[in-house]
Amino acid sequence: MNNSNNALLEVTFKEEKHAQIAFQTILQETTRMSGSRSQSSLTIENKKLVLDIESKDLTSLRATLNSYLKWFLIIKNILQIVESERIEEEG
Amino acid sequence: MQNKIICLGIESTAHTLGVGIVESNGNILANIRDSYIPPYGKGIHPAEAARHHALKMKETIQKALKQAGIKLKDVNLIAFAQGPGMGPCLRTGAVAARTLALTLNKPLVGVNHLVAHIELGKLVTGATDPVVLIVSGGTTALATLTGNRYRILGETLDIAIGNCFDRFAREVGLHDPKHPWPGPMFDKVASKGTKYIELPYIVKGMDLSFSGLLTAALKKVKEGYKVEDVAYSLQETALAMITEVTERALAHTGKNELLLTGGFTRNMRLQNMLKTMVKDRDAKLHVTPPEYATDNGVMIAWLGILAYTHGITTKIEDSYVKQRWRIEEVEVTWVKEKQ
Repeated sequence: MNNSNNALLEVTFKEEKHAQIAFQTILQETTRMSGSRSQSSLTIENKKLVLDIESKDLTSLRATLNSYLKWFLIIKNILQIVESERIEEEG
Repeated sequence: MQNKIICLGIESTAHTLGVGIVESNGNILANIRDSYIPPYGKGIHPAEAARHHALKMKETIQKALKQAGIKLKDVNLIAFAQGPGMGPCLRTGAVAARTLALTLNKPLVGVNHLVAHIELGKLVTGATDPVVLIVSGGTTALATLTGNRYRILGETLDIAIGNCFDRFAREVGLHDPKHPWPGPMFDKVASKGTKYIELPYIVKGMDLSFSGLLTAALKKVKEGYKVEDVAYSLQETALAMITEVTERALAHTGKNELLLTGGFTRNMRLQNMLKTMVKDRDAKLHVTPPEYATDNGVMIAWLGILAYTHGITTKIEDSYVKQRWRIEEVEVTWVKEKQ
């Protein structure tokens, strides 16, 4: 029986530099987060981050996915603050 | 002459998300906190607390910037609590800090949460070279600067004093639904106690143990003793233990300043016991004000400035969280011990 549970998450950013920032930020978690129950890898393709998660069970898959989603939310929200300030300044 | 530095600091080691903004001259521009409140009768669930921090991060940063009257572009330095603490919670702060540092192209400094408590306490109280008593839900420790590190003189061997009282309160049903934490209700109930019930007094050298005391106290309640008297006795016993080791720390170090900090600082009985003790020793007690004693981003920002202006920065690849980061592992390059 195949015990593997997978999820593939693609997150696209407005600009390539934002994707680079997200990649460098989250890579620090990815490289240390892998354990016996869940493994993940993160790659960058221009403006898109691709996260590949493989877990032994669905509980672990859900937990890993939730962690990454939280971090992507933080990154996107902070980028929004910076973007809002830039627009306000140009306006 | 060095230009003024403005640091934004992020605290997220446990249930409190804090963002503080501080200038390098010690001027505090913003102190915004938003705490995760667990369900009634429950403690901190790390994943839920981390979820709270992720959802509230943007708003908390924006509120801090507004309070400070600045924009993100005015910030020169980003600091974050790198440890010790709960892993999921720490990671939310680390992710936010890395994002800010990379987006703004500013330096990043990961700081030790406990050292941050000490340094902010010194800034706001004027203490110069104290013995420090850090008491909170997660920490009970005595420390002082020796050489170029803060050394632990004594600490709890099991649970922290705040955790001890919170757990007692939850187990016996002392919880005000209008308040997120049982601590204040415990204080109120303990103040009504009149009869001292003997409980285990556990001091081992300079270290303390509260878990056996907690178990014994809960047993007394089950045996039918009045909750007020048990709470009173638990408080008197636990705080006397802390006062004893604190006095011994002052005697051993020969220092005449005691700095009290951490979320448990608000306990007035502890403050009074320590006041009596230091008076007998002709020493001075510095009590960190509540808004700076409890977990906050200001302390992170201030320590970030101290570290950065003394040559410390954290590369992105070294910014992973340190859940068990001991205070003695931090090289304190910014303070010279009083000769």
